[in-house]
Amino acid sequence: MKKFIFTGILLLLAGVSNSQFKTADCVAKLNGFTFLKTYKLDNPSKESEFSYVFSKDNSYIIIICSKDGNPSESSVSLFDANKNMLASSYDEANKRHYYALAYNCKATGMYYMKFKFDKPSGDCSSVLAFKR
Amino acid sequence: MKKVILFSVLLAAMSCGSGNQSNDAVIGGDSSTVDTASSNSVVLPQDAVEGIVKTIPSPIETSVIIKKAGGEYNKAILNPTENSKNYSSSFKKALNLGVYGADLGYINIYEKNKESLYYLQSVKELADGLNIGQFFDFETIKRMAGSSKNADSLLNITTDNFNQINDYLFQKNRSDQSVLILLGGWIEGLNIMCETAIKSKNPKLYEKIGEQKIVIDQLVLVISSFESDANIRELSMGMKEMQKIFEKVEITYTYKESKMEIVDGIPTIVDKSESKVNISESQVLEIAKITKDLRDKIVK
Repeated sequence: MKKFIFTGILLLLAGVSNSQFKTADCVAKLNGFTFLKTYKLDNPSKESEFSYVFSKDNSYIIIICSKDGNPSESSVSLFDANKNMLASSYDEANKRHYYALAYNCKATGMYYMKFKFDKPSGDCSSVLAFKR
Repeated sequence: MKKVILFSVLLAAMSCGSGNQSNDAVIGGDSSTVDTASSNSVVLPQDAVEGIVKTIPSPIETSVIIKKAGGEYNKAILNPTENSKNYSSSFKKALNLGVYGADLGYINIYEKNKESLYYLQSVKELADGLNIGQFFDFETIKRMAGSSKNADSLLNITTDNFNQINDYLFQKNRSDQSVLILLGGWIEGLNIMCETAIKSKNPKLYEKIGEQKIVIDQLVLVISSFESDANIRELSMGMKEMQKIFEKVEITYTYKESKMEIVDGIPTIVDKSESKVNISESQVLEIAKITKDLRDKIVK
């Protein structure tokens, strides 16, 4: 219920631009995680990369949202500071895209989130959230 | 080794695309160009600054860590709201907007909703003074603050407001103010962490303080970029002094291949890597002292 109230309030507050609609959509999926950052993915024909210092013993979630609410052709991959790939929200074996990727962090450090779009699908955004 | 890390950070920060020419000192205005003309400072293009700003953890995380470690709510360590009327320059307003933002996050994490109203008022005053007050709908936020049931939503809304402010300041080539808000928030969060850690002697919190070594390297890099401003130069010198103390902290990282599981329908990385922080109590005290000195200069 809380998340729906928050989504509604965000929409009302916003003056309601597309990116804020998307943020609200993403935040509504947080499910117990605390919202931290928004990443605008305004050019889905390109890969986008962002970094963030993740903290040991925190759990993080990265959620992707698109204007049509279905980011079926997009994925996020997570890399550590040495650019070792930890995982992706795209399951290559089963050819399946997931809307989110979660990470139970055991090593504090710089991490890189790389967003990739298999097909251009309009503006997207992503939110990062955490819980401990 | 340090040079390699610095260079890597620069490369990573600049990989976001072409930059705007927001700073006169950037030679040629190409986003890949870095000016190292002034002593020990690097002037970064705006895209690189924005990339680094997005890297810095939110003070909300610090507050959650403190609460989960058993730290008691302590109003006395926050910046009193009465101080907000003392900040007349844009420099002080931006820094203390960050300070009050971190205080507000701490208050919200402890669900002191009524207390948060006073801090929201200070945030509003400073945000209005910087012409960015439009990002806060204070009437709605005030209504929400009236009930402890809305604590999560209140936290999410204020976080979203600060994110929007950050985006707006970069759009308007006011990245210096965005960096000052970030820095004020980080120093306030670290000060709260240090005060709580010293009181509780909690090794988990000592470790979290030590981990800030990773963050301060980023902050020094970004603040150095604005040293042509005399106020920021003084702040930057203080940060570099703090960085020297953090250099004594040892962080080791061991990589092991992670596992992947589907949890509640979401792919979840089960980490096998680990980091360890070697920090002594005397180092924590030293960091706490320099943090408090710097923070007191900001809020006075």
